[in-house]
Formats: sequence, structure tokens, C-alpha cells
Amino acid sequence: MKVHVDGIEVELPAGTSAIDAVFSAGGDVPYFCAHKYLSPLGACRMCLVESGSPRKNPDGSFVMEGEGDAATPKIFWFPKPMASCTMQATEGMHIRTAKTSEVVAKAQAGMMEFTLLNHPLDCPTCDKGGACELQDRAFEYGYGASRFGFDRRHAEKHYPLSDFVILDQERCIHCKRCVRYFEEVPGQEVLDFIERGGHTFIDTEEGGLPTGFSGNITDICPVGALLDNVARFRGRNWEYDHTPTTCTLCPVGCSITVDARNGRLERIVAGENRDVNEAWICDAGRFGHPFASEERLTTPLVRNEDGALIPATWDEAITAINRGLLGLPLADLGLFVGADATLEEGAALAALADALNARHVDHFPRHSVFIAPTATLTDVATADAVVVLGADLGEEAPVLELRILEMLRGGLLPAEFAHGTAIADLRLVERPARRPERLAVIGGESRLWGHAGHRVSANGENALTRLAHPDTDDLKAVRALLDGAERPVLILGADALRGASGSAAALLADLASRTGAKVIAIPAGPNSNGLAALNLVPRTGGLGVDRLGEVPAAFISRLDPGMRAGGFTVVHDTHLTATAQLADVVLPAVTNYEKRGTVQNLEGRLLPLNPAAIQSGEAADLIRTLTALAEALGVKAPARGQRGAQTLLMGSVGVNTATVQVGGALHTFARTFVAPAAPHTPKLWTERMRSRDRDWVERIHDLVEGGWTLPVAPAAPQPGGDD
Amino acid sequence: MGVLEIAKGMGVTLGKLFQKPVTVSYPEQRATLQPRFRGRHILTRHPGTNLEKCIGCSLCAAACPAYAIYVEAAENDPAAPVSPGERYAKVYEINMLRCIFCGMCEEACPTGAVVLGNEFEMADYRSRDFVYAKEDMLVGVTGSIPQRREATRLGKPVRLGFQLDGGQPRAELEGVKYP
Ligand code: SF4
Ligand code: SF4
Ligand code: SF4
Ligand code: SF4
Ligand code: FES
Repeated sequence: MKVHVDGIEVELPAGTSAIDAVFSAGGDVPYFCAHKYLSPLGACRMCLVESGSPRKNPDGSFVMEGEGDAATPKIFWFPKPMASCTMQATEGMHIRTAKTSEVVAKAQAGMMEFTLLNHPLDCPTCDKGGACELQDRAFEYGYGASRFGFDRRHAEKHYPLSDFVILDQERCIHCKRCVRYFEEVPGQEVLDFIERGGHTFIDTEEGGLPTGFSGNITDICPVGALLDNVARFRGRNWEYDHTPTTCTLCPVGCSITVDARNGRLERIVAGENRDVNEAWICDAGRFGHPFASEERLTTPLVRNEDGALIPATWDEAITAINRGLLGLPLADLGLFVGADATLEEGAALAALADALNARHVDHFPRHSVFIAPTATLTDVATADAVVVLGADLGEEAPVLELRILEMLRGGLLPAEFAHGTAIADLRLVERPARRPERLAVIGGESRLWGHAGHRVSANGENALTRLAHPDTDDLKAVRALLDGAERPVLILGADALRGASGSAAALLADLASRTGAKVIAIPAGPNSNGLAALNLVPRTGGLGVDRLGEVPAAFISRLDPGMRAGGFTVVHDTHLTATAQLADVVLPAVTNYEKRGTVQNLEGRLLPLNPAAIQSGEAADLIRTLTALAEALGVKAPARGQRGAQTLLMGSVGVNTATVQVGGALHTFARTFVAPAAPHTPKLWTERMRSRDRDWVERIHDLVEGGWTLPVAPAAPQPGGDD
Repeated sequence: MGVLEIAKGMGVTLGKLFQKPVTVSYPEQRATLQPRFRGRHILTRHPGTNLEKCIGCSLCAAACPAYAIYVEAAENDPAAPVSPGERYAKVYEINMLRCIFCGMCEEACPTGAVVLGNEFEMADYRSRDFVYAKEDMLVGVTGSIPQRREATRLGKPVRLGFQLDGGQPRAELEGVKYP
């Protein structure tokens, strides 16, 4: 299909919207209400273009214009500018944007004037300022001056929808993105427009927003009406250091941008990764970051003669470790690491364990079986049946839940163009028909429960066996769903994997091959999938982290079992955890927001981490900490830095992580290491949202209760005020 | 060159000898400044309510070519607001060593909060004493940090080394009075 945009001819697939045709031709159209992953609506009327198409005579030939060879199909223009986001481009269509059409330029400037009529001039105090679509577009396409000399609309300016999202009703431009987001993405009908015309405002019926995925509306609101309450007034958009990286709070590995200012992590916004999280992240990933800048350990701590942990230098800590481990056979030192360590860190630890001949090596959390993922997240979204076994996705892998809900909407992934994801994919519709019969949930009740057509309460651990040999009608129906589907996906959660053994893996493989189902077993920890490829499990005669108390001496990184080893204990962590308080030497660690490295997510995708500018004193990642530990033990350090660890990783598993791109790449490791593990229940949400700064929650409450009336003299308008 | 020319030249010199000098014996005597002279910043307040005009928007910091300004904003307590509206500057600092007194901050400020005043005597001993905080610049504070330190030591009011031509600061310097 050929389309002409401002005289440039572009070749496009049928069904493309006019707005995407313009962007494909390298043009630009301002837009507010269209959003890549939401249905096009045509609410804001900013994306106006002039358009026309050729018309055919009754005999099938084109109505021509001109004489002889110079004749071309006559273009019949629409009498008025059209909204390009809701208009489908057709064969031979001609489109004129503001670049070539006075009419469009005037219409857009006029539309902008309407949008700004009731928009307060809040830019200096608005957290969106500097990253605001309305600001940018008003600058590019507006008149540049206001002709509106009257009082603007006044509405609630300070309206917390929840502890995490704050609404300013005056700033809303009624694009309806937030309303559509809740309806279409997490499938929760909570927000809506109330009243009509100039009085329209956004509110919830029930009061409050459901937790889980509410923060995404702060990203998509094109103005500063919906804002991140955690990052409120922490900095202006141009003052933040923006670091695109990967969230490693759970095994989904969403793309995020970490915004830091003055060495503090102030805000996290979603990044786009079409293969993983599209443009959405969960609330734990977005709002669960204050721990990274609160009460951090910034120096090593060494226990003195009085039994108190006192700040020390790294050299003093190395000396203390050396003295504490004197006489201990090196092979007796336990090496334990949290499963959110990067692959590079894991490789360095495995190499040190080899060098020491250490037996007590482990990472936590992990399952006793390793089930290699065969489905990708895109497979989940485009499946025609999904069976979830024993998973509480909200606590284990929240964004996986969104991809399942996408499957229920028909799994329509927006098209991709050279300019990126389609801005308006016309196949996405408002209030899409859902197909709950395609989803079966077996296990305990969870948020997903309400969306599923098949719900079977079952004990997670033997659910797999029961699904393989269905014994009730419910299970038989689920099995029939699996058997009848063409692209089924089976998702196993912690309840199903806890205590699972090799026979369960065989049973699963058998079930998968019989039904043709692809499988995702949600790893226990954020990088458990990747770390399983490294020899980080108890070796012959070794003990796991669950039997820490019996290990003669231990080095524990980013783990909080709340106990110490039998003897000398070194803890490497970001905070003074319960375990760190019991340790003999505490070494300060960096969070995953401050690391460079690679992790592997639940679908086997290698994803890169980039370090954000967060202040953490003398904290070090595991690779550098192991160098210090090696020095204390008098052995050669396996790797001195990131480069060395990458080489180690290349040598041990044959993966060059230096070349991992932003979007990540699927990878299957040839070999994996498993060992019996203690049962583990992921608690992502509960853990992340725990350390809240009480202060501001109360403050917001006070503000609402206080009614937000200021003792300001009402008479004379303030200089510099907006009207 | 003749004797006559030399005599003429000497005549000019002699003539000047009996005129009133244009130099002043600063600092014993006060220098006279034009009101448009630009010196140390003043953070003004709204007359009447006495609330700070600054809303902590950081636009001055963004406009500053010398990166001299640092602003940290916070939410107003409705019971005891610092500025009108939701937002105020919790921390507002200008590094006077970096500042080139260009006035871009004043131009960028949407509320007319930061205005370059007329004070210029800020010489001090340690670099860190050149970082002026909000309490050093709010309207009503007379004198620089070293001048106020000296005044406290001597138990006397701050003595500024200048007076304004015409006696009145610029209109933007709302509420500012130089003694
Ligand atoms: S609150 Fe924001 S996203 Fe929602 S309708 Fe208003 S402008 Fe659009
Ligand atoms: S789903 Fe997981 S990876 Fe994604 S934002 Fe939430 S915690 Fe982070
Ligand atoms: S006067 Fe110029 S250099 Fe000084 S603080 Fe203002 S903008 Fe910066
Ligand atoms: S002085 Fe003006 S520009 Fe600077 S933060 Fe305050 S209000 Fe904003
Ligand atoms: S009408 Fe809003 S983007 Fe087209």
C-alpha cells in the first residue's frame, strides 16, 4: 500500500493508521491521547491532518485528473482536517501535515488553544515540567500567546488517588489514557470521567486505586495531572541522571529508567521493551526503591573487643577477616550469595569457590529442580490457552500477569515500524472482548483468579500430577483446554515448584510434549535462571544456605537468613540486616541499581544492568568484594573487575555478556546445576513496600484533611501567579 | 614643543588640584552606587502575607550559566506554609564564588523571587563561606556573611560600604532597604 505524506511516498502494510504513516515518512504530528499500547480513541483532536484518496469510476478505473500521459488519479480531499490516529491509511491516500498545510497548522494551533484554555500555568511547580508532552507540543505547534483573559477552571489540585499516585484535576486535558489503561491493561475499571464538557474531571468511584500496576498511569499521563507521589518535588526532570537499566526485584526483568539526583535514587519510570514488559512495570518495581537511598551501609564494619560493630576501612576489614579465618581450612569457608547477583558476580564467586576448593557454596532462593523456559513472554501474550499452576503472580512476577491479561484480550501486539511501536494500532479497541475461558488458574486464590475462566483450588505441590492425570471434572476441563489449544503455555509458580524433584520435571516434560505446551517455570529469585548455569550449589559434602549454622565459617552476600555461621561470619550487604548485625565483619554492598552486569530473566533473556549515580560511600559489588576476600585469604583473586568476570563467564559458560544489547537476547545455557533446596515463598510486594518513609504518608493525609486552604490574602492577585 | 604648551598642560594639572576629588576613601567613606548595580542576590517575600516568593522550581538553577545555584524543593505544610502554593524551596543555595552576577537567574524566575541586589562586599577566607543559603539572602538580612560575622563580634549593626545614588533600590527589590 502506497501512501503519500507531504509529497513523500511510503510503502506501508495495510491497516496502518494515518498517524503511523506520517511518522513512517519521517514527519511529525502532535498527539496526546494516542498511546502505543492503548486503543486509539480520538479524544484530544491534536493529531489533525488533511487527507484525501483517489476514487474509482463505476467501471473500476480511477477518476483521473489532467490530460493524456500527465493524467493522475484525482485526489478527493476530505472537506475538514481529520484526526490521524483513528483514520486508517488507504491505498493511494495523500496526507498533508502542518509542515505543508496552512489549514492543518491553524487547526492544530487552535486545538492547542482550546486545550490550554483551562490548563493552569503550573509548569514551575509541576513535576512533569521539562518532560511534558503538552509543554513540548504547545511550544512546537501552539500560537505562543494566550488570548484567554478570564478565570480558568478551578478543581481539586491536590488529590492523592492512593499513597503512590497524586492527581491534579486542573491539569487534566481529558485524553482518557489513564481510564483506558486501567480498563485495557490490568483490566480494572476504577478510573473514569465524571461530569461533562468543561467540568469533566477524573476520579475513582470507590476512592483509592488498586495496588499492583497503578503507577503506570503516571508515565502515560501526557501532562502533570497524575504524578508519582514518592518522587514528589524531589527534582526537576532535567536535573535527574537518567539511567536505563533492568529491574531485578523479580525474574521478569522489566526495562526501567532510574532517575537519581545528588546521589539519591528519587524515581523509577518504565522503559519500553516490546519483548518483556512492553511499556508497563509493577508498583513494587516503581515505588519500592526508597531502600536504595535510605540507611545504606557506606563503610565496612568490624566487631571490636567489646562486641560492637564499628566503622572501619576496607584494609582494616581485610585484616580482620584474615585474622578471623586464621587456621580455618579454606575448603571449609561457606560462600553464599543472593539470587539477584549478576552472572558476572556469580562467575567470580564460582571461580573463587573452585580456587578455594570450597564445598559449602549456594545461592538463594532457588528451586530443587531447574526447568528450562521454552515459552517467551510474547508466547504467553499470543497464546490461545494459558494454565497457571500454583503461582501468586503479584508476589512472584507481576508483569507476567499483565502479559497473561494481554492474552485474554486476544494477544494483539501493536505493529512495529522504523519509528518504533505503532502509535495507534487500529486493531486495539476500547473495551476489548475478553476470553476468560482461555485462562485456567490452579492453586490458591490470587489477583489473577478473578480473570480466569477455569479456577481450581488445589494444593500446588501435587497440582502438576493431578493435571497430568486429571481426577475431577474441573481438572479434566483444564486438561481439555490444554489439549485443544494450538499454542498453549503452562506457567508454574513457587507453590508448584516447591519441593519438586526430578520426577516432576520429567512429568512436566511429558505433559508438555503431549499437549504441545510451552513452559515457563517462574524462577525463585530474580537471577536464579542465570545463576543455575554456574556451579553455585553445594558441592560434594557441602551444605546449603539452609544449614548455615553448621558451616564452620561463611561469607554471605546480599542474603538475610537472620543467623550466623558456626564460626566467623562475613556479611556483604547494602543495609545492616539482621544477619549483618550478627556478623563479625560487614562489608558494604551496592544495590542492583548501581551495578553493571547481566541477569537472565524467567524466559531466558539476558538483560543488561547499568549503574545509576547513587551515593553509597565505599560500597562495592561482589566482584570487587571477592577480590578483598581473596586478599584476606591469601589466594589470587579470580577476577579483578567487570572485564575479568566477563572473561571468566565466557570461559565457564561460553557467553559474552559484554555484547548484550539493551533489549536483551534469549539464551539457553548448555548445562545447569541443581541441588535440593529449602522451600521458599517469594514475597516481592510485601518486602518492597515495607520500608516506607512513614512521614510523607501522614503528610499527604494531613494535606487532604486540612483541605488545602492557605492563609494567603485572597484579594490582590499574586505577582507571577497564573491568572 | 614650546614652553607655552608645557605651561598649558601644567595649568590643567594645577586647575584640578583645587577641584573636589571624585574618588572616595573607601571603606572609611561609603561608595555611591547606581541603583542598577548588580550585587549579591536577595530572596524577596510577598508583601502582606510575608510568604517567600520562591516556589523552589529550580528554573534559576537551570538558567545559571555558572551552575552556581542549588535548589531542593519540598511540600508546604498547609498549617504553616513557607510560600503560597504546594511547593517551596527547602534548600536554596548560591555559590558566590561561581556566580558571575549575570542576572540570568533573575530573568528566569517566574515569581520574581530571586533579584540581584546591590551588596558586593563578600570577601572571606574559606571557600565554603561563599555558599549563601536562604537565610543569608532572604529580604531583611543586611550584609554579607563576613560583614554580619564582624558585626556580631563587635556588637554593632552591619555597616555597608556603599550608598545608593538616589537612595532607593530598584523596584524589583521589593522590601529591601539599605541603611
Ligand atoms: S489524568 Fe492525565 S492521563 Fe488521565 S485523562 Fe487526564 S490528562 Fe489524560
Ligand atoms: S514485574 Fe518484576 S521486574 Fe518488572 S517492575 Fe515488577 S518487580 Fe520489577
Ligand atoms: S547571577 Fe548569573 S551566575 Fe550568578 S547565580 Fe544568577 S544566573 Fe548564576
Ligand atoms: S528563585 Fe525563582 S526560579 Fe529560583 S527556584 Fe525560586 S521561584 Fe524558582
Ligand atoms: S485525537 Fe488524540 S491523538 Fe488523535
